[in-house]
Amino acid sequence: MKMASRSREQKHRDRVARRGWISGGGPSRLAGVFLGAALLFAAVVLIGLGYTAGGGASRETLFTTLLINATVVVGMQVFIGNTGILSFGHVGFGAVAGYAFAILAVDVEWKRRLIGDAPFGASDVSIPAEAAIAAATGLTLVVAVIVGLGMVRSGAATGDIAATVITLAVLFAVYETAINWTDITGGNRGGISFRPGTAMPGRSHAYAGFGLALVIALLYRSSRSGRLARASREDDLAARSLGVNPARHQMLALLLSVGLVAVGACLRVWLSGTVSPERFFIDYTLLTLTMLVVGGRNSVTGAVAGTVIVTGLTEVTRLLSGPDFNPGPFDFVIRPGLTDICLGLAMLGFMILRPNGLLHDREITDLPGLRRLNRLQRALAPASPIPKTPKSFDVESAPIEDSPWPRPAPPADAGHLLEVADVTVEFDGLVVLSQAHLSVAKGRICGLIGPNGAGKTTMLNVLTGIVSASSGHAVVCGRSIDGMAIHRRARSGIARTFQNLRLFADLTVLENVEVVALAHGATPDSARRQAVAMIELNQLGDMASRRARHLDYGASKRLELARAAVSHPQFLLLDEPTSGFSEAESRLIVQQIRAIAARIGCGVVVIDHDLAFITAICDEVYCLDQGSVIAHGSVAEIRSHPEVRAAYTGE
Amino acid sequence: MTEIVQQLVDGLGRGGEYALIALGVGLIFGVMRMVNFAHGELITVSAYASYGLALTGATWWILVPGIVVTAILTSVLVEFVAFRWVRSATDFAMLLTSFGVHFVVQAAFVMFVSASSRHFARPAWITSTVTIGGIRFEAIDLGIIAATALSLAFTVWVLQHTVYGMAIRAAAEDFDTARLLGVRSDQVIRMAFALAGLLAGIAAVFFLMRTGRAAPSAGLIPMLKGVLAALIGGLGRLQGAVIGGLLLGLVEILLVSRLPDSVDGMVNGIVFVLVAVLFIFRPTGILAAGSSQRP
Repeated sequence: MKMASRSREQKHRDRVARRGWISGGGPSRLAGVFLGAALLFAAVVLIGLGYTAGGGASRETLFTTLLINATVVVGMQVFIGNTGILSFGHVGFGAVAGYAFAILAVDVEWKRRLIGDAPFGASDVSIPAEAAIAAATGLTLVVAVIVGLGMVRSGAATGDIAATVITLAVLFAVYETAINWTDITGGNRGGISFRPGTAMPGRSHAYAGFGLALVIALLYRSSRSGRLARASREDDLAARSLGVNPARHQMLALLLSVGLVAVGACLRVWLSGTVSPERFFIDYTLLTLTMLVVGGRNSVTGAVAGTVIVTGLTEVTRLLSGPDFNPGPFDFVIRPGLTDICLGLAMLGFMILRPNGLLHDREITDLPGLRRLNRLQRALAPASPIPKTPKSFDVESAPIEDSPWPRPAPPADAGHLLEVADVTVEFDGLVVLSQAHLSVAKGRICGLIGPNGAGKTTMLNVLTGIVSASSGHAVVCGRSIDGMAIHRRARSGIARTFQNLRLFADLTVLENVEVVALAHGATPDSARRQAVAMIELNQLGDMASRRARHLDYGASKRLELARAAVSHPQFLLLDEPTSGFSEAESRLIVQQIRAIAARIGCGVVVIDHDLAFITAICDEVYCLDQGSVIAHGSVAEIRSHPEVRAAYTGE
Repeated sequence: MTEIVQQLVDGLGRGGEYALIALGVGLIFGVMRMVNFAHGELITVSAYASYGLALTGATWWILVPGIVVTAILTSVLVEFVAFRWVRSATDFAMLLTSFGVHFVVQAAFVMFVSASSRHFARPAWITSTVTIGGIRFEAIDLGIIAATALSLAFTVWVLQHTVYGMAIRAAAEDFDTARLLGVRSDQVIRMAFALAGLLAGIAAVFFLMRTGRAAPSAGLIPMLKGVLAALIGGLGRLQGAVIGGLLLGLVEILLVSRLPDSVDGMVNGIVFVLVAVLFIFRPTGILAAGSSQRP
């Protein structure tokens, strides 16, 4: 009996541990990255060599093109996949790199015939191609820094159209510059071409570019920045409120991404021996975006798989619509233009039927066939151990000293208070909060009640920085938080849950909690330990590897609580933790909130309409009505307060 | 002075076209929360329809209703074939769906007609000018301004006084509440697409009168301008789309007349960069109040 239960537990721990294969920390992370890169590299090379074995120069070129396109698409994945921002600008960045590369690498004599009057003395320099790739990439990164600063300034969030339009502006501005600045680009017709015979020799550069792209993309994916970028991809506001600063991660993702695209674009120019505006415009954008979304934009494996599949598709349509194939009665579809319409249909079909692509966010190392290898790898480089916590956690008797995370520092003298004074908030002239005040000590649980529209949630929004107050002050443990950005407030000790669930829907339960610990500076190993302990405390242990979007309502609510608590806030703000709960569930959550507050030693502000719940859990209560605090006191005092009764019953 | 008035009218004429397209983009965004990058295809399809009609010898008296009806039907058809399926999808999927429609339509014309453009006769009066108070105006600019004003008046009437119109407006102004109240029904979305198609059709009439040309990518630039105009004004504010369109037209005319010839071909790129810079500082457009996200 005991044995059986232990082995079940062990299996569960294995399952949790396995999830971390690329996203885990320590030596296993690097092993995972390089294993993943090696497998993907080998798979593509095998496919390519298999196809070129059939012979013919066009097949050779196709394979090299495949490697280069894969470099570009994997580069795009780093930004689009991790941040969720749709970018049309990457091909524009590629054009910058491609032109810079061609201008630097074409030999002087040949270049003088093409762009003899180029400014900056560009027609008088020529450097080796590899150096030109490095220089062109550097130049493109400078452009990307400028664009990126604008993009993060615009507060880019997932699906945010402003950010996408900024990327479109990059594409069009670069295209029109390339057409019009003929002195240096050779204009629309001529472009810049290499002297015949100086195009890319062999395939080694393409191999190197592809390998580099795989390693960088997988490294970023498993990095802290990559994981935090994905949290804000899933829910920007929740991520900010829990201490993530999306701007930094979006910027880093953009720079890595553009760097890889730039390398790929240089290789593309070098292979074909020519660069012209049209080669880096809408058509190439369509091709690369289709490659990215067919396989699945959220994983590097998806980007590679999509590139291979779409390349195969275009090759088939090219052969079919070429002059050597007699389409017979099908000549109404098998004709020039077939490739483009297939690409468009593929993009459309996938967006409608399978918007996350074939693989969604699965990497090659997550595939079932690799489980065995996976175990072997863990034996070689032990993954972060899953700490043992009691299976059934007894809330009342749990010794606080046993808590697996660091104990919070004892409160400073200056105060262990959350204090709000004279806060007024207006929306379009409507006063939502009027000179409201609040004072909660660490270790206390404080209720915030009042009729709908009383301003309770607005109070939490003011505290977390989502809404800015027109006047008033808020102080956490002696430190003013007025005017602080949302994520900075979170880091100075405020964590919250949301009335409408705001989980990181596509991340697993464990990842949801883990990223918050990471955002607060935990090492990957410690973040994993804290997250596992926290989800077990909230009875989510057996769902650790499930995606948050697949949780039932109660579990989702518990996960929000766990996610907020793992940041060890000084003050935990809970917005209606029991809404939609049965009485039994409410009783359970009372125990949980108490257990969490006791373990962390934090103060709690809780909004709820369930007065039985408020009575059971709160040490003190504030009652808001029409934006003002109308009563404050112990639960008993509030219950008998005439104004509170009037506000609730309308008497 | 004369020059400024001429440019103003010129800009309003161009801006009127953008405003009509932008209003359609705004209406569709209102009922679906999707930025429709395929809106320009209504112009592309209309262009080929008028090319086809012109081949049969039809005059502009037939082409004009032909263009408008084609745009309306295409708008409703595209919604039925493609957008219906992504109503509750993520923003990312919606954006790429509309781009996918754009690419498919464009590729279909390349495949079944030709990659090169087709031309048809422009109306005779297109180049004629009218002199009012000693200032010469292009007749087509005046025509567009009049048509834009009439279309806007009609749109306002539909939105204010018909059940569907009120539902569209409700959805555009408060999407979540409107959806809770059951507004997001098939008919309302279809109505919004039909109305957007009508407005795009009217814009297409003048656009095609000016160019007399059908090409697979004919709709791309007008669509981008319409989307930009809607964004400049602030999505979800219908009057914003109109203001954004007029503003964009005026800025373009100013750029064309003031910039040196050497960068004449870069007007679109410059406009894009200007709008991008605007978004850096006002990501929700010029009309939007200080953004207050509700969690």
